[in-house]
Amino acid sequence: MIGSKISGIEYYLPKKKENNIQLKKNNPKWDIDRIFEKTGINNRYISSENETTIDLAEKSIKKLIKKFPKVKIDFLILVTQTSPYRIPTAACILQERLKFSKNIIAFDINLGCSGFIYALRVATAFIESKQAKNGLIVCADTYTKLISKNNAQCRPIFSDAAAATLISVSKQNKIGPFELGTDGSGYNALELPQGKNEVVMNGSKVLTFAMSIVPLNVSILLKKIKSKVNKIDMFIFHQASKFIIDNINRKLSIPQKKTFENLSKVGNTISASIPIALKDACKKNIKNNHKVIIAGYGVGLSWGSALIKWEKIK
Amino acid sequence: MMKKFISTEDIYKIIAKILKTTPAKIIKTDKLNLIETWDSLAQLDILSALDAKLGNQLSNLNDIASITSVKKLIRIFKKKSLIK
Repeated sequence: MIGSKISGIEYYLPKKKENNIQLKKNNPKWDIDRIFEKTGINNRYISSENETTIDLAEKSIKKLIKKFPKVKIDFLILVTQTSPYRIPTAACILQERLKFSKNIIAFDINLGCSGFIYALRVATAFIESKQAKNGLIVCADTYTKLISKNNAQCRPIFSDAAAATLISVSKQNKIGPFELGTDGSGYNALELPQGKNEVVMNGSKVLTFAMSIVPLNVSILLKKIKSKVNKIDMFIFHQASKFIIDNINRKLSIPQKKTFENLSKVGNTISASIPIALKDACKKNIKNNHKVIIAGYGVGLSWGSALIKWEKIK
Repeated sequence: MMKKFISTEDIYKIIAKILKTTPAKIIKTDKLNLIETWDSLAQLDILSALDAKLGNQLSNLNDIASITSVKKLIRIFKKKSLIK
């Protein structure tokens, strides 16, 4: 049997940071302590005016492939909703910038916070079907370009970032199974309305969605793998906000020691949040052979979860 | 798992505690968004607290996310047989 594994993860954060003191300066009426209590976020990374999603993606990939000089990249999946181009596909621009082979499979996936899970499913399918041996998933977004400084729902949460993940062929399968889902009836819970330049979020809708769907989705995955919460070593959820993660943990009865949060440091980095959390967690919290469940959920509405049998990464 | 219920008194008490006011004021005003201490973050706290009290039964009640009238909320809870 041919399987897949995660071989490496690297991420890039823009140089400019916005902490809660600066947020308060721009919005003197906001109750920053209360916002922090709910979001758990203290820092957001803001791309500069001339820094695009493609630039962030390129930097994260360069950091990663430096560690794998002999690996031939067979596919490149860019997960983004903030490409500077509507046409062409931004992954094609990355192929040219990075001088990847012209035989590469390169395309974008337009998904938000569930995007890494979906891309992982596509990547493992390429490998399982012997179309590829090694490929990159790069999750990159610059939502802050679409969020004004006084957007109370979104500004305290979203952060710009890119995370590149190398997926490789493996004798033992380390990724999967998956549970994926979609409910377009909630499309307006988080949207960039047509003709507008400002992201709009209905926080209550997003919360009730996350509270209802994620525990159910994870429970179905646990059933599929004939396991229980106490048999899983670590749960890495999309870093939406502390309030949402706490509620998911409460509903699934996951003890705190089995969850990971890096929200305070990096904010909600959309699809990059899971690979960034995996990279940070593997420094201390995730060990070799650990069973890790990852789950992404958000804009769409779209969600997905997967089991990863962890193997040390570069 | 045994189904959990909530009383209307408990609903008012929970909401009043989150909005730092009295159940009597909530009953009188009904519309939570007219109470000074209510905002979108408080709405999240209310949903989470009611869900915890009901033992996670609000899972499929996406229709309550934006409701700010307590009477309307109680009507929905009654329809779902969640009221004691």
